[in-house]
Amino acid sequence: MSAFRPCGLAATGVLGLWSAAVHADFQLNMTPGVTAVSHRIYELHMLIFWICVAIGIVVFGVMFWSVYHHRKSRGAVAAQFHESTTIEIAWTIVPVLILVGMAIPATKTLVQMEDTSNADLTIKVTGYQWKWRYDYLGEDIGFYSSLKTDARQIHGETDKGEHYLLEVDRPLVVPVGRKVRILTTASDVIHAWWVPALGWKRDAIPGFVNESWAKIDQPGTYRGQCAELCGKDHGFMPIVVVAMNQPDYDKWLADTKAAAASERNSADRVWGKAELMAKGAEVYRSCAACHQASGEGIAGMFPPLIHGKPFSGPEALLEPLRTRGFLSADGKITVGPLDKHAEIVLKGIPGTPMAGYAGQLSDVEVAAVLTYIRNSWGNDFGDAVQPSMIKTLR
Amino acid sequence: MEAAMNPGLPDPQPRRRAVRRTVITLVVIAVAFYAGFIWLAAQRA
Amino acid sequence: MTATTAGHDAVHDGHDHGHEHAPPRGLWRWLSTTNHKDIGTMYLVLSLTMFFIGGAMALVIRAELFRPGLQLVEPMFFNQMTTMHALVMIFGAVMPAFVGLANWLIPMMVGAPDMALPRMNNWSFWIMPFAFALLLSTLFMDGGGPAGGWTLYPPLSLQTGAAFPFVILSIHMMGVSSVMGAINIIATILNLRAPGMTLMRMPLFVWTWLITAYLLIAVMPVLAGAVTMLLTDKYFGTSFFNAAGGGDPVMFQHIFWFFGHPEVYIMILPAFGIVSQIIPTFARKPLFGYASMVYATASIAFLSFIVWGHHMFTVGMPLAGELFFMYATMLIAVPTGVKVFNWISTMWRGSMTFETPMLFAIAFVVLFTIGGFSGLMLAIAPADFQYQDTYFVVAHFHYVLVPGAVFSIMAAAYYWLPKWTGHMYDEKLGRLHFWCSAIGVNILFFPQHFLGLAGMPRRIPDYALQFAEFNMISSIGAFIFGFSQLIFLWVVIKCVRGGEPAPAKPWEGAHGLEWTVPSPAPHHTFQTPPQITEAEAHS
Repeated sequence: MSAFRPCGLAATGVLGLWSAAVHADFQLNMTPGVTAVSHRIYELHMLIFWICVAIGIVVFGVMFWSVYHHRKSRGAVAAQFHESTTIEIAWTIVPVLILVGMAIPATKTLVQMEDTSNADLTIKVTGYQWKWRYDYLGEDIGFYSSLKTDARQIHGETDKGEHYLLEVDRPLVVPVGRKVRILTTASDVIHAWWVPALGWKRDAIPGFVNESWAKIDQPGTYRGQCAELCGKDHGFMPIVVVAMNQPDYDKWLADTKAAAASERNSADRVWGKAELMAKGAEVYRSCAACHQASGEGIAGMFPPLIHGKPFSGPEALLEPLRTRGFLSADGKITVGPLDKHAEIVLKGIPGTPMAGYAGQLSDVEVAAVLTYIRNSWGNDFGDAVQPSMIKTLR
Repeated sequence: MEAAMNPGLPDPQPRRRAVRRTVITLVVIAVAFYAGFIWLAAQRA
Repeated sequence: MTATTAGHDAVHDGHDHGHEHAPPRGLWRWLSTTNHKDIGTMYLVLSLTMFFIGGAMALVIRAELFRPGLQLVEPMFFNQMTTMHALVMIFGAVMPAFVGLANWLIPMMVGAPDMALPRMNNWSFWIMPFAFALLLSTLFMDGGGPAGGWTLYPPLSLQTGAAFPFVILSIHMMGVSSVMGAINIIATILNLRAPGMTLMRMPLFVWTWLITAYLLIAVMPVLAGAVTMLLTDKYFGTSFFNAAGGGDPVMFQHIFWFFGHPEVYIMILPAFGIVSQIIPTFARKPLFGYASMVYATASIAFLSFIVWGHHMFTVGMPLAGELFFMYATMLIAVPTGVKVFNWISTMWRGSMTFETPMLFAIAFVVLFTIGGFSGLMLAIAPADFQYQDTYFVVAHFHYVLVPGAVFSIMAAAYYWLPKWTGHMYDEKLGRLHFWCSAIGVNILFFPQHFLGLAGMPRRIPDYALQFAEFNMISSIGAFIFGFSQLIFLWVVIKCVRGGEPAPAKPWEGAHGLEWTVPSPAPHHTFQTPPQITEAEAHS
C-alpha cells in the first residue's frame, strides 16, 4: 500500500483520531491494480492529486498569510484596490494550461481503455438482483456467482470472516496474460461490475451490452462489488475474480465443462428426496434474499412460504396470490397445487418483485427448490418433485 | 402600491407591462423545456 | 403553471400592500401574507426544519455504518434513508433556504418595495409544506418510501411500492414551487430595480440569484418531464425507459442529469453570492474583480448545461462522448478558480475581523475548494472509472454541499440575523457553533475520500472489514456535526427573542441598500425608491 500523505489541517485531525484505532487492513489510497490500464489510471490519479495539492498549498498559503497579517487587530489598514484586468486574464490562462497538461495523459489512457479489439476470450457478465452470472462465450459454460458470507455473520451472531461480504460461492476464473473482453448486461435493474484491481467499473444495463477489457498480469484473487444501487441487497452481491496461469486455467475449464455435462444428463434420471432436499437448500439461498432463510418473508413486501402464515400488503401483491391459490380468503398463505407452484417459480408473478427463474434455474434446480420449500419450516407435503416433470411444465 | 411598485417611473403602466412580458416569456421557456424533453424522449422510445 | 395567472393578478391587486398598517396577527397572517419578508422567514423556518429531518436520516445512516454488520436497520429501510435524506436535503433544506434569503434580501438589495408577484410568492411557499408532508408520509406506506436513490433510475425506481405516485406528485409540487419562485425573482430583478441600480451595480448575491433563477426555469421542467415519463411507464403502459418495450433506461439518466448538473449549481451559485457579500464586509475592502465574478458565474451556468455526461462515464458512452464531457467538465475549474482567486484577493491587504459570518465564509472558501479539487479529479474520465459510485464521490459532493452550500447559508443567517430580528446574535455561541461544525464536518467527510479510494461503493448498508476504521471515524464526525447544529438552533431562537439591539448597519464594513433601513427591517421598505449612484454601488 502506498502512502497517500494527505495534507491540510483536516487530515491531521483525522489521522490523529485514526491512529487510536489502527487496524492492519485499512487502505488509504486507490490500488495500483494488476493490469497495465489500472497502473496508468493510478498514475493519472496521483498526478492530478499532487497537482491539486500544489495548487492548494499556494492558494491556501496566500490566504492564510493574509488572514494572519491583514487583520484589523494587528493594525492593518484596508487598501482600496479592487480590479486588475491583467491579473484576471493571467489566472484564467494559467489554469487552462494546467488543465491541458492533465487532459493529454487522460485522453491517451481513455483511448487505450476503450480499445476492446483482439480479445483472446470473451465473458458475458449478467447482473441479477442480487447475484452475477458469468457465461464463457464459445465455451458453452456459464454459472451464477452469489454471496457466500453466512447471514449469521451479517447479523453479528458469529465472528466475521476475513473476506466478510467479499466472498462468493463460484468465482469468475480467467487466465493471466491474455486479453479478456468482458461484456456487461443485466436482466432486471441496472448494476455495475467493479473490481478495483482491474482499474474500472462498467454499468450492467438491461437491454444493453457494454464492452470492457482486462489483461491481468499476475495470478491471484481479486475482489470487488456491485457499484450501482440495485435494490435491497445491493451491498451483498460481491465479485471475486481468480486469475490463473494458463495450464491451471485449462484444467479448470475442462473440469467445469465435464461437471456441466453431467449436470445436464442428471436431469433425465429419477432423483431421491434426500438429494433433492440437499440441492434445494443450496438453490434456496438466492430465494432467501427476499423470502428469508426462515421462509417467513418480510411483512408487507415478500410473502412467507410457510403454509398457514398470515400475510397482508398492497392489494397488487395479494390478488395474484389469491388467484393462484396461494392465499386463503382470511389472509393466510396456503401452499397451493404443485403445477401452480412450479409456474410461479418458472414464470414469476408479473407486476410484483417475483421474477421468473425459467432462464436461470435448470430443471433439477427448480425441482429441488420446490421439494425444499414444500418440505421445510413445518411444510410437509411429502413431494419429491422430479426434474422430468419440470421439463414438461416449461 | 401601484406607485410603489413602479418606483422609477411616473406612469406605472409600462412597468406593469414589462413584468407581464417577463413572466410570459419565462413561462413559455419552462413549458417548452417540459414538453420538449418529453417530445424528444418519445422520438427515441 | 396555473399560478402565473394569479401572478398577473397580484400585479394588479398589489395596492393592498401600500397602506401603512400592521399585518394581521396569528396564523392567518402567515397563511395569507404576500410580504416578501414574511415569506422569506417562512422559507427559512421550513428549511431549518427540513435540515433537522434530513439530518436525522443521515444520522440513521451513519449509525448503521458505525461498524460492519447489520445492527439497527434493514437494508430496505437503509435505502429509504439514503434516498429520502438526499431528496429532503436538496429540495427541502438547501433550495428553500436560498429562496428564503432571496425573498428577504433581493427586494431590499435592489431597492424594490416587494417582489414583483407577491401573491404568487405566497403560493410558491405554501405548496412546499404540502409537498414535503406528502413525501415524508411515503415512509409509512405499504412497501415503504422510495428506496431507489434520489436519482430515481429506472428500472429500479419502478419497483417502488405504493409510495411511487406520491413521490412523483411531491416532486412535481416542489418543481412548480421552484419555477414560480424563479419567475418571481427574475421579474423582480429585471423590472423593479431602483433608479440608478444598473445591472452591473447590483450586489453579487442578486446577480448569482438572477443566473440561478434562469437555471431553475430551464431544468426543473426537465426533471418534471422525466418523472412524468416514469409515472406513465409504471401505470400507463408506455415504454420510454423500458428496454423490453423498445425504450432506453440510459435515456432517463441523460434527461435526469441534464437537470441534475445545473441543479448542483443551483445549490452553489447563490452561495457564491453570499460569500461575495460577506468577505468584502469583514475585509473592509471592495470585492476584487466584480465584473469578472459576474462573468465567471455566467460561464459556470452555461457550462453546467453541457457537462451532464460526467455523471455517466461508466454507462458505456462512445469514446468521443466521454472525451467531450471530460474536457467540458475540466473547463469548469477555470471560472471556479477565478472566483476563489477573487475572494482571496479581496482579503489581501484588507483589514480583517473574524465574526461568525466571516469564519463561515473563510471555511467555505477552503472547504469548497477541497470539494472542487476532488471534482477536478472526478472529471478525469479514466480515473472516474475507479471513483464513480464510491465514497470518494460521496465525500466530493458533501464537501461542496455541506461546508459549501450549507456553510454559506449559516454565514448568511449570522450576517443578516441582526437585520431580520433587530438583535445581535450571541457571538460566543456563534463561534462555538462554527468551530464544532467546521471540525465535525471534516471528521465526517474527509475519511470518506479514503474509503472510496480503497474501494467502498456508496449506498451500501454493510461493508467489508477493511473499511471499518474510517467508517467509525466518519460516524463519530457525523454525530459531532449533527448535534452542533442544535447550537445554531439555540442561537437563532435566542436572537429572535432578544439580545443587544442592532443598529441599521451592525457591520463596520458593510455596503448595500439593506443596511440603510433600520434593524429590524420594517414590514415595508423602499416604498419611495432610493437613488443609487456609482460611488455607493462599488465603494
